[in-house]
Amino acid sequence: MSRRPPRAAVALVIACAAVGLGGCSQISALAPVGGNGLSEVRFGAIDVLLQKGIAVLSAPVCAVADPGPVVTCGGTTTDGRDIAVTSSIAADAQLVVMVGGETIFSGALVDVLDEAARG
Amino acid sequence: MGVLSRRQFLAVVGGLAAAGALPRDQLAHALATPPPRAAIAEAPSTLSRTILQGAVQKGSYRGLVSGPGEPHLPRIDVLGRSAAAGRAASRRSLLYLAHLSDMHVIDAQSPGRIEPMIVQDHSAWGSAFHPQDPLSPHVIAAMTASISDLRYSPVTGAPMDAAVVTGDSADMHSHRELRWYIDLLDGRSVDPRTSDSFQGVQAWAEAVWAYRPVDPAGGAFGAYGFPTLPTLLDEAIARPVESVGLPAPWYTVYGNHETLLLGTFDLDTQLRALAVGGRKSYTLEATAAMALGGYAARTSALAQTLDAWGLELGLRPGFKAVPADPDRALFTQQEFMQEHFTTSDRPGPVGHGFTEHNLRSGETWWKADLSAHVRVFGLDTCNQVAGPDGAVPKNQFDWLESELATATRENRLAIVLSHHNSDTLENRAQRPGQDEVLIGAEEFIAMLVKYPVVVAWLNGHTHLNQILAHRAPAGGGFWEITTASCIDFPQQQQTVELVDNRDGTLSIFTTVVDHAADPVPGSGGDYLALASRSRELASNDWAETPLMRRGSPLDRNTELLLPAPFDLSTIADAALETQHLTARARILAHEGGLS
Repeated sequence: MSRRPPRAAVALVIACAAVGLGGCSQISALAPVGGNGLSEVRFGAIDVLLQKGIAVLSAPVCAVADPGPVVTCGGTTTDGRDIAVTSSIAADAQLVVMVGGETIFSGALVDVLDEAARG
Repeated sequence: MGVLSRRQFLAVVGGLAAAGALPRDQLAHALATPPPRAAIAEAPSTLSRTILQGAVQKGSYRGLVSGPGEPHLPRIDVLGRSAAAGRAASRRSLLYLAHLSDMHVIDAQSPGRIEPMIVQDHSAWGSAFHPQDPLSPHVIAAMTASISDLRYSPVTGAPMDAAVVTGDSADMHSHRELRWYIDLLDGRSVDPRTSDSFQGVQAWAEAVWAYRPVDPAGGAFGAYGFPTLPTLLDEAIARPVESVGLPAPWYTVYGNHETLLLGTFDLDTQLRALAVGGRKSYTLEATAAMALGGYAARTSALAQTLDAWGLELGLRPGFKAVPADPDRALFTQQEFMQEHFTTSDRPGPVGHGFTEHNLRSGETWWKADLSAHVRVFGLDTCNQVAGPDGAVPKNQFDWLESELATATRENRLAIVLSHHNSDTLENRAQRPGQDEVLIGAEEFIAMLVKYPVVVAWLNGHTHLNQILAHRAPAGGGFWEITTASCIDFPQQQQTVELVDNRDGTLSIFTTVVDHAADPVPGSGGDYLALASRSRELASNDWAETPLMRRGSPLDRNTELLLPAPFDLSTIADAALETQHLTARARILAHEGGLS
């Protein structure tokens, strides 16, 4: 599965130039649907946690670190350890999941997501 | 019968019979007999089977296979502590719902579509064209069949009380799509045969950029390995699509696709004319110029007239002739609400959440009591100007807060419905001179957590399964439940059940629902075979990042715990039994139409 920026993503000044149009006021309205990049990181992190048999009290909550594209997430396990996740919304993002300060996974985010959806 | 006395039971039956569900004696006999446990246990859901991507068939194209079922996973993020182990033995159902979202019913032959925009940037414009577009009515019918199969809760056996729809039901603002979606949920057939043979980009050799199932070679879809299916388009329009309809009353809200074109652009007069006209675009240049160029605002009336003549005479390049059809007219905001009154009272309700007050006032938000103890609030979070994401207008924010204060005084559990979720509530686009305050996610959530009666916020928009916990500073909070779509893989919806654990906690069970089609497409050309093919095609539509949309296991089949917001023992067992009898009577009437 190839990864890309969020669905319906870019302003289309390029399209106007490419097709030689004068009036592109509508096309310039195209804007990102938000959130999918954050969701991907969160899904991947939870897939890893459950695969490793870690009981979750608070599932990871993710945010894009200013100015991006780095994404960080935090949560807790039922035995009180911190969950810390680092990844990004960029293509070829790497995913690092730490529990109680120990790295339990480091690898390509897309591999985690694809494996979870394949039989 | 349960806790109701015989006299009370007969009084309820008499009322339901008078309402026309079934003849009194027949109804009394049917309601006195519990629904068969085997039928409940065997109802297909992701508890017993999931659908996963399988091996490569050709190039990068993969088929689908059955995967193991997934049990409900308890989540205690909001509760903040372990749940009592014995809660399953004493629980009782307060409300059992179906949650549908982002159905995106598509009239794929319509000239009011802008499919060629994917040529400019496939990922950016992925929602303008999907390889499975002509099969969307079949998917909705298959999903409706699954919801009907799950008319009794797989958790408690309770009958379904209602269904809620959180927007993006009609894909391209077309009256025909609007009508199809209402009819399919109501249990009427729809006829996709709008021309003698399929007339659209997927049938035209010139549209080499599209997935053309007769001969996919030459474009990106062929290169990916999409299959040659010579009869697919003929089968898609060969016969009316029959739907069993939903087994419970359904309620709806606006999505961005019912507000703006493709959920993003303003609708101009040129596009309105194209939608009902007889020329359909198959090139990027023609689409960008005629549909999205800001044309009407920038071009003189004379030039528009000459262009319209050129289009009708076939002089404009990039268009092919299709049958003109006035039923494809783009609807207005008011017409969207109005159309929901053209329906039946079964499953009902007439208006599907919208009331005469909405039609008179133009207000696009509403409230309804789904039971004596659960109130639902349907918001319109769509931006009226531009962009797919939304926000909460201040007037709705204030209205909702006032209503939540009332619900708190009245001991009503509250469920909030909107199209947008907390990841997509930051669009504050306005026209010059407008000064409406649009409120984003942080402020909205901060208001909701002030009212413990708010237990759930159901939404959609991002075409994925996701469940987020929102905790109040002093403890407690609510669950935000985002349901996937019927267009993108995994083509899943959900059931949601509120359960009183009788220990001071409340559980919300979410169960993901696959539509009724098998993982592997058959060859019959019936609606289930076509829905199955749609799901397989969608799982390979790489531009839509399909696989991540299933969510994680904590976003699918779950038991979401939270503190009971008030003493739930004040809800009498007899009141719940009356509620369940009412729902069962509706289901019995629904079942009468299944045979």
